[in-house]
Amino acid sequence: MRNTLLLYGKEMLEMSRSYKLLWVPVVFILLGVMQPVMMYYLPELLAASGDIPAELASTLAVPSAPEVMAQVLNQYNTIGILLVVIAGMNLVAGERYSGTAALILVRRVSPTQFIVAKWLGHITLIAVSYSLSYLAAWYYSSIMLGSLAWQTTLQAGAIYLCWILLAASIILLFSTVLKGGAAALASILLLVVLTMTHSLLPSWFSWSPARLAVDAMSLLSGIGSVNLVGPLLLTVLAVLLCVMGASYIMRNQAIQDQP
Amino acid sequence: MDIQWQIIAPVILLQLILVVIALVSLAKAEAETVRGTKLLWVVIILFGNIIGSIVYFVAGRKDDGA
Repeated sequence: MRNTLLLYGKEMLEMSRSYKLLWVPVVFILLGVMQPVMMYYLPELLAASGDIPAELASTLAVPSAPEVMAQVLNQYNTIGILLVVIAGMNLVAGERYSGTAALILVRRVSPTQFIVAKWLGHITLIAVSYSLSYLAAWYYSSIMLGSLAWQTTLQAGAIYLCWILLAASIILLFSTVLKGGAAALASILLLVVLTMTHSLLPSWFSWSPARLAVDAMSLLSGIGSVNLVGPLLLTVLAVLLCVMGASYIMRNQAIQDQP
Repeated sequence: MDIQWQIIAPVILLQLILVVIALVSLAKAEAETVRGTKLLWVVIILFGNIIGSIVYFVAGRKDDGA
């Protein structure tokens, strides 16, 4: 436990040294804020571009705040997830190939402690960035586009947080097996497959963790029923499996020298 | 079209912060840990908007292992 906390502290220090602690939250906040601002100014922007007739421009309504929040989640689903994966792709791979992992693991640190500290560090970074970004999007949507029901918005945000944390855990798992770029690609593919199977065959994959993302969006736009016990349990299980799998692989992995 | 600056200003400020972080990070980095020449990255960061800075943070440095 003490080792894990020590490594966690070292992990946070490392993240602030590489400016990750700064740029990931800033990019996330920009991502969240852009959507409400864009939607608010869209009719004016289209009118200013002069390519569409005036009658059509006047019919373009500014969407309501809940709709825009759903779009914000949609943005997270594409660019946000990509960001989570890219920020984490060298989580373990980088340490392994630069030889830091070997240096740490010859001390009395178990691979599990090492992985758990890495995981905690990444989870903290992503959870904080996402929460700040979601709050900023919420604030902007409500001052510009009308009020939001705070219970629904909070609920949807929390549900979506689980999905994004799953993505953060999956990249940890792949990062122990593959090199940075390949790990990022593999996790993106896995997440896309999860989302695709759920959207193509919703009744077969009603337990899929991808349901969290979809339900968070439909919760905001006020359509569809939300039954989350299955997906939520499975997501927690999947996160645990990712961390356990990663530490299992780490334990059985020959420590590599420079590539 | 009237622009409400109190809405836009924070967004611009955030973008500026991002660019400044990227430039400070680049300035402090040793030349041999940076992939490619530094001047190239300055251009990418300044003109690449948000994406430019992200690309620098993700791909610009060798010590991240990739």
